[in-house]
Amino acid sequence: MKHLPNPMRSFAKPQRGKLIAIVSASSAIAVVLAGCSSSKKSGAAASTSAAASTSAATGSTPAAPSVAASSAATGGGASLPASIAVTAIQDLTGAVGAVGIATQNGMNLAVKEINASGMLGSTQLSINYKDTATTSAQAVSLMSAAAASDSVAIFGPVSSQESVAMAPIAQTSKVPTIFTQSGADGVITAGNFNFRVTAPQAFFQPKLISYLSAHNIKSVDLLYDTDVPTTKGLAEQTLPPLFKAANITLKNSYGIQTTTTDISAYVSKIAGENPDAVGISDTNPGVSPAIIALRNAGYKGLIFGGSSFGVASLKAAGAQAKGVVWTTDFDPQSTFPQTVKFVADYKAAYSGAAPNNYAAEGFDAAYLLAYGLKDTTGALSRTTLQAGLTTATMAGFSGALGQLTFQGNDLREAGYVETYDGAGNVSPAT
Amino acid sequence: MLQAIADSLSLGSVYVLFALGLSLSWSVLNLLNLAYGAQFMLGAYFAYLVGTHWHHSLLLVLPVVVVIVAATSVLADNLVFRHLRRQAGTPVESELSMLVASIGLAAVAVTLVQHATAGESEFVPQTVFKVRTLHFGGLFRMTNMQLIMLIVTVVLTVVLAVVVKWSRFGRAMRGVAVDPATCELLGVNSNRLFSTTIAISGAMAGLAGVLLAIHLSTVDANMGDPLLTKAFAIIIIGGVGSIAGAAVGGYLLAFAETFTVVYGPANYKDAIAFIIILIVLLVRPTGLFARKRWERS
Repeated sequence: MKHLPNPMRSFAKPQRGKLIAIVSASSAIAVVLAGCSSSKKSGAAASTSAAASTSAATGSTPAAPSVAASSAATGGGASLPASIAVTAIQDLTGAVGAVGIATQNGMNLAVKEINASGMLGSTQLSINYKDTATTSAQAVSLMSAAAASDSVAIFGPVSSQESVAMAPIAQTSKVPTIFTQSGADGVITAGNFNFRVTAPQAFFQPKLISYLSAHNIKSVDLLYDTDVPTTKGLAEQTLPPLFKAANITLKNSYGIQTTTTDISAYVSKIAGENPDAVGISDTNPGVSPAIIALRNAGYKGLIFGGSSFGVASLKAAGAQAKGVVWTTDFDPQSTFPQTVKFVADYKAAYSGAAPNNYAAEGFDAAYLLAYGLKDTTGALSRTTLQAGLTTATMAGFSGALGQLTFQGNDLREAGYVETYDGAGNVSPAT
Repeated sequence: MLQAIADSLSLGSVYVLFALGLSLSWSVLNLLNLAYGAQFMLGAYFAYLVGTHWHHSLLLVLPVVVVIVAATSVLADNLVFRHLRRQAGTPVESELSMLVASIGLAAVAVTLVQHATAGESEFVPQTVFKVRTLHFGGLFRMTNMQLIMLIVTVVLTVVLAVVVKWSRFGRAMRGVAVDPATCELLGVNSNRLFSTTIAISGAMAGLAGVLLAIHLSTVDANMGDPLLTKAFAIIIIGGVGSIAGAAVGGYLLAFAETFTVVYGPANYKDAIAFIIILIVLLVRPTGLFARKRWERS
């Protein structure tokens, strides 16, 4: 009987091939994990060095703060418990995970210093972290759980979309919630239990406009992310009237989605219009690709941006990002004593990594809580802490961002205009 | 106009280069691999790792990364998909269980990379490949990487289409997708064939990851998801079961998006592009190149 040809005879090989594939793939996983350990990222190391515990599982029940029935520890006018554990609902993974981790690093450093300095007497402060994965639904779920728990205060995420959804829950549950970033409307206006330790970018855009005017910028184009309320608000509401007042013509605004991967068509159009300057209002992953695309398209004019600009977001663009400018609330080269100390302590704590504005904001947010605890009178509760935080914001304090002053529960500052030298260094723009 | 065409070809190459491997596994193997975006991301991530630590050029980095990603695909098949295929009672059960498993695998890969990068975006160093802008007589410009992607996309599409349709291996693949039992009786080892096809699909994901990481100037743990959504649209437009159809669908979508940005209301790019997709599907419900009956292989 004639045997039928086996079209797959080339596959009748020994199991060697499968073994090689398994070994290769296992080696690949080992390489990934080796990338973890040799990475300059120090978030993991930092989080274990501070008095904080990270809960990566979502929806898990946060540890109840240990409230001693009586305590000799006092902070200000209140009798504080021996330990206070608060909840931080933070974007540790997802689209803005890098921002959340930087904020976490700043918070952990602050908590370590607060505990070591005895600022709250013998009371030890700790933070339980919950990851939103940069999804609003998860953030709201975690917020509801935290509001129902014993946590006397909550730190909110950096994402405006999530914060706008969480702020009303904080208000109705009467739990003091401290946000960073979260520049969209609806966060602070949700009520007096919401605090924010990042000045809305609208407050330091005038400095940027002055810089543009001083450098004879007469026309601009804007490229912005329409999915992020902060960037959308800046591009559509804040900047246009400022440009108009400064006699700068806004030639065109191009809104792109966060998920837009290739912006060649937009860049070609912008390059063809050749404005004096191009503004990029986008989150971190999109900043360098946009700059590189503009330069590759032949655009030679000034490029400016907002708080998403920084060493981390510009490093991929390298020399092509030389000369870009942006407004920020944090100047790492400031000679303000608290800023200088923060930068030095951060570098010492995180293997020499330089802090960015998000870390500085997280640091000051944790200190705001500490000052609020110090200013709490009577038995510690959410309501008395809210009053203590209000007192703290009225007084202001020195922090990593500089001398912090608040309008109500919201930070105010004029900001800085920084520039990048294309080689990893940031300095004030002149 | 010429620049718009060049940008469309560039964008289309991004879409098609990403979608080819997914089209292969879905069209031929009935495996809707939702981990494909993560495989692509792994290709980009390994390009960053290998390029950063070994400082070698694209000629060495590319094959190394392609082999690694292909190997991870085979590992996923051996550890997960094969067992699900064996345990499933019907083909539909098999497809659904593999689809769900692929979601889990994607989550594992993304989480690992997110942890390794602390959520920050990275980039493939210029020592691997230096992107330069090429000017074509002042009429239009493209970067050298855009040109490479276009050429690679066209060549891969042709090779893949020919192999799937006319080669002995391609016939075996399509046979296993339709009736694995009969193919087994004919001496075809369906598991080995499945693994090989998965490896090829993974290799293409790795290839796309490397090239697109250089072109897009970014490596990010979540970079696969947006392209995955577009890839499904492209495969549906072109017709599930047609490699060439997926390529045509990709370029059609790219042209629609680019010309909307250049000549129309740029902010409505996505809306207009998907209206065009709807029109295509209304006229040809099975896609541009599919047969009347929806048959994946």
